[in-house]
Amino acid sequence: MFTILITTGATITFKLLIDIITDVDFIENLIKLQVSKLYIQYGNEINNGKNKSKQYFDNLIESKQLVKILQLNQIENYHYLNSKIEIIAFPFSSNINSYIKESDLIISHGGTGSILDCLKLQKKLIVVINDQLMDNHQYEIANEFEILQYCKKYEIIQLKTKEFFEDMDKLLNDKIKYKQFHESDGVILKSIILEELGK
Amino acid sequence: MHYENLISFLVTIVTVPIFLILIRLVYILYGDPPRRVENVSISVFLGSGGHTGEMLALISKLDLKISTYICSDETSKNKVKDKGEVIYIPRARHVGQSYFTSIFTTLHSFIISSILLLFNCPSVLLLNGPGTSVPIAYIIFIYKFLGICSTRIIYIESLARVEKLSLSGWLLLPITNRFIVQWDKLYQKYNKVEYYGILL
Repeated sequence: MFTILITTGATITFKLLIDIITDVDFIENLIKLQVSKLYIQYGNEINNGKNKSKQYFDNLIESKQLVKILQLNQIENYHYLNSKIEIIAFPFSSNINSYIKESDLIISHGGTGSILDCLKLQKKLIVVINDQLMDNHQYEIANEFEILQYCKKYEIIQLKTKEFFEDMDKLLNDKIKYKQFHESDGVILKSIILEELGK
Repeated sequence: MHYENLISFLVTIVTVPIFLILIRLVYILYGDPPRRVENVSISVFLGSGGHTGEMLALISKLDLKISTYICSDETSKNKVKDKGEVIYIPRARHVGQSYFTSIFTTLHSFIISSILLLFNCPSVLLLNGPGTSVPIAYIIFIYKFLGICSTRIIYIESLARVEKLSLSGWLLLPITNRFIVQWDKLYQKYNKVEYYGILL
């Protein structure tokens, strides 16, 4: 039994990723991989006082009839349950680390903050690139981290492939292992500042 | 006065100040060594979103006291208001604002920033972007040039920059005392930058 967190970035709605993860097929594939709990952070893009991310997420859940097809019971708002999987969704959590800690694997957007949060907590990480963003730093950074073997990166279209779920299966069951990320201890920056202060 | 004397006089009063200004500039840019500071004050600039997040992560590991936080957005301000003194700099341009009115808001922001920084010149200023950090650093640089303060400017390029510097980084490269990047590829590309691995 596994717990997965999908985080799509707080400030900009990562529509393509939300599109895919709310597919019935996607959820059923997770169930096949014995995922029993799924957290989704779908974003907190506020525009004219309205949460755009929430609207987008709500519309998809509604139009894809997820609740009906998967026979989910709604326990409370954004908290669903059937005999195989529990799904909890939220726009943004200031305490995302507690969700990361609880999860066996995180599927994250390519934001530096999210990637580092996961790596610092030594979690299995899959990064999904948003190629609709202006400058594609997300691609560059995910690529570097992949070369360093800290995580695996995917482009959005690859998320529908068989290989993606095969890789996820291997990751969850420790058949693929990534390197441990070593967090900086702040000594370097401190010594640079002290040098500049003449000490 | 003889015609030739007038010419030499004019040339002198123009070239000497320019020469002195250049000497001062070259000194501030390349010569000015770190000096031992007694009343240490460290300021951190928090611009927005990802930059703020990265800066907060950087300084969370630093066991040095941060005296002031210079913030240019509400979210950053709210994140540090309990941690120390906060200087709030009005934004130059809001999303969707017209270019005409943004001339005035930019000017307003620049003047307010200049006044606030004049009274809050730190010993060390830490920056990591975004665009709003550029005028802040240049105001401090002008104050250094004028001899008002001797702030050491340290810029840490965002981890998200792998292949080339950000525009802010590129603009600030000449006036920073230290410029730190977090990827080897950048270190290979630019002469002045320093690289010690990922600092986060």
